[in-house]
This record gives sequence, structure tokens and C-alpha cells, in this order.
Amino acid sequence: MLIKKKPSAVEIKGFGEEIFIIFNSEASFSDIELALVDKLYKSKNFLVGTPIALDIKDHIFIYDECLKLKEILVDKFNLTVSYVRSNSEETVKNIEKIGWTVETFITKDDPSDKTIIVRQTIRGGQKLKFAGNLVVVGDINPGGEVTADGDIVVFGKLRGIAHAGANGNALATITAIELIPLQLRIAEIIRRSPDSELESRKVPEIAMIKDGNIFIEVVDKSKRGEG
Amino acid sequence: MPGKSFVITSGKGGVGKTTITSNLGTALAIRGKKVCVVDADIGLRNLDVVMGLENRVVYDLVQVIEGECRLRQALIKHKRAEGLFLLPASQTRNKDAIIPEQMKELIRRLKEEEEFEYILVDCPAGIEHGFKNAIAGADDALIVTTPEISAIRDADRIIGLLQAEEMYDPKLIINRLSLDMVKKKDMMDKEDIIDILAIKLIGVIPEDEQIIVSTNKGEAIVFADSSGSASAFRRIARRLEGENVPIYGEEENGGFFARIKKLFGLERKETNNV
Repeated sequence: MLIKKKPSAVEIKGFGEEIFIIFNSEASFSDIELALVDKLYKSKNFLVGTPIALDIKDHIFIYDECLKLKEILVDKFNLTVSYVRSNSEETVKNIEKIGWTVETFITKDDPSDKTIIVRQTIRGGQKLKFAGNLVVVGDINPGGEVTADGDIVVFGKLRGIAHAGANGNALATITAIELIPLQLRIAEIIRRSPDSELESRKVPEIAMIKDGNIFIEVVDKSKRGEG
Repeated sequence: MPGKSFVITSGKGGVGKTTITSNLGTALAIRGKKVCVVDADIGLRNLDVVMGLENRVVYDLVQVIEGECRLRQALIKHKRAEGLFLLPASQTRNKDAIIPEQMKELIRRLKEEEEFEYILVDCPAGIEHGFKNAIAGADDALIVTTPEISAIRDADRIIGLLQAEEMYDPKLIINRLSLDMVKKKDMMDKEDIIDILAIKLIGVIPEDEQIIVSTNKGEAIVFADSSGSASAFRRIARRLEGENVPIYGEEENGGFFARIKKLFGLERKETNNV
């Protein structure tokens, strides 16, 4: 049988108390359809009544295909789908249309959503780069440089260069306990320090893009709710 | 107890590494320690000149490493300070003549074969090959800076490079600080410097004209009891040995402790009893 030759199109696995139906990224929809029916036939007795989670991986399913999945799982085999995992935005939309809950991996795997904490002083000549949010507990000295695709927070004095939103994210911000940088960059925008000596205001400040320029303002707790 | 090796380094040139190496070595030797000062500035040696030992140089560090002479043969005994020896750099070879591994081995031999208690390595300026050689055998680093923005930047860079070599706890020496200029706000104070470099301060050496006179004569200033910088060197030596001594400028500043000490007639006594 064709299905037996490609047994990995669909796998049913238990992780802890959850049962997952995992779709092979390589398999076509028709393969998955066939394999799904075949596997469910064989194991329907112990699956009934247990909520199932689907892991669709990278598959891009159109609305009709999602409907087809629902038909098989819910109508034909009388299963309950607790949630669906998908890496594709397109699939997520269509899955949501047919009424299933989606636990997307897009935001979870997106490094710009990750944050690292670095407990170190970044000295002259040292560079630190991260594809997410960056928290430095320490100073960034003149000649030191930190770059992040997301936000940068410095629990210390920022005297060097900081580049937030390095992948083009203009919403990124740079915050420091003392913001006395040589240069700030957010996305494509660069702002250098004034040529006169920059005096620390000794208050935490935040830099962000407003009207195409980098603005710096005091981190004010009372304004927090507005954003 | 095995000996301890320190590299005296700064990044920037002309901040006083060689003078400090010479005087600190002398101060430790006066305290009865067996000290070797090593000139790692191969090709541009001048530690021997500053120490007034230039005319005694026969063999050098590169010759020891290449086995052309024995280690003992290359060590030059100081004229005045008992227990102080110099291992001179080569004048003719360049910095690529040795590699860090060889330097490590040399320092180990100075500790184990010659039983030196302190080994002070005078590092060349810059961050290239010569720097890497000089720091190779060091247990700890003494960073020298002057109260100038460029020297501080370079010191910061050096501290970062030392971290990469797994030396995480260098000590800071601020050289040529003028208390008068600090008072007039014409010079950065030690607090400003420590604020940036964020490492432990082990000594402040005041601006002192006498040091130029003694250096040119090839004498260590620490033999001159009256000089402010001489006392500063002696204090660094004591701090290296683990004693708790106030930093230069702290009692002169009229701080709280200074006033208390004055009240009890204790001020400045500790500077002269070395």
C-alpha cells in the first residue's frame, strides 16, 4: 500500500498527558489525508474522548484543506481538537476560520521576542549583538557597541553606541539608567551626541523614534499607561 | 608560597608604565622581597635605562628564550636595592621573536627556578603581539592610566582585552594626578576615572617633577623619602602585599577620616615609616 511506504506523513504521539497528531513537513496534503484516515482507523478506540492537539509544522493549508481536516477528525472520527500548532501565518488564519484554537509558533520562535540579560560592562572595542531584546546589567563604555533587533535596556550608564531595532524595527526603544551615548541608532535612524560635552541628567531616559527622528525622554512612571 | 607575576600595562604609550615598573619593583625590594622586573618591550627596551642598568646588559630575554644563555646569566642585579633583578629586553630583535607560550614558560622559570616573590612585567604600548606576550605569564594586571580622556579610553579597551584572556580582576594605578588641578576642576578626579573603568584602585601617583629628575639619572624615586610620588609607590607596594593603606589624596582632601586622624595626631605618619 502507498500509505505504508510513507508512514511518516502523520504521526500520533503522546507527550505527557497530551496526544499530538504531527504532520510531516515533507508530505503533501493528499498524503496527510490518506495517512490520517488510516492511522485514526487503527487507533480510534483509544483516541475517542481524548482531546487531540495538531502540530501542522510548516504546512500551508488553504481554507478548504483545513475544512477537510475538520471533516475527518471531528465529523468522521468524532474527536475533539484542543488546539493547533502551526508555523504558517496563512494556515493559522484558515484554522481560526474553521473555529479551532491556534497556538502559533511564529511569535515563540521569532528571536525578536527573546530577551537575554548580559551582566557585564561593555568596554571600548567590545561589541555585543543579539537578534532579540538585550538587557545589559552594567555600563556600556565609550567605544563599546551593543546591537539588538529588539529593545535595548541598560541598567547602568550608556556611554557608547547602542543600536536597537537593527533589523528595521522602528518601534524599538533604548532605555538606560544614565543615557549619555556617543551615538544612538534605532532602525535606520542615527542620532549622535551634541558636540558640547553631554552632561548626564542622572535620571533614567528612553529613546524612541518620533516623526522620523530619535527622541529622548525621561522614563516617567506616571506616563506609563498612555502607551 | 609561589611568586606572583604582574603585568604593568596601559594601552596608551607615555603614561608611565616603565617608571612605575621600576619604582614599584624597587619599593618591593626595599621591603625585603625578591623581585624581578621584566622588560617585555622587545625592540624598544628602556627599563634598563630608567633603572640605570643599561651598561650592565649582556644577555637579554630573547636570548634566554632561545637558549643562547642561561636565565641566571641574563638577570642583572640592581645597584642599590638588595633582591632586585632586571631581565632586559632585546634591543635588536623585534616583537615577533617570541610567542606567548614561551613567555609563560619564562615566567614560570623565574618563579620556580629563581624563586622570585614578585615578577613585574613592563608591557609595551599597543594591543598587538607585544601586548599578548607581555600578559601571557601574568597572574594579575596593573592598569596604568593618567587623568586624560585618551589614556582612560585605552585603559578601558585593555581591561576588555584582559577579560578575553581570562584576567578578570585587574587593578588600577592612576599616574600624574594633580590635586591642585582637580580642585580647580581642570582635571578629572580619581572618582571620575573609577566611574568609567569600574576596577579596583590600587594607587594614585601625584604629578611630581622629581620623578623626571630621578628617572633621567637612572635612579628610583622611592629612595627619596621626601617625594610625594615616592610615598605613593611605597603604598602601592604595601597594598600589593595585602596591607590596607589609604590612597594618596584621601587624607590631604580633608575627608572625614583625615580629620579624625589629625585630631589624634595620626596624620601622614604611615607614609614615612616604610
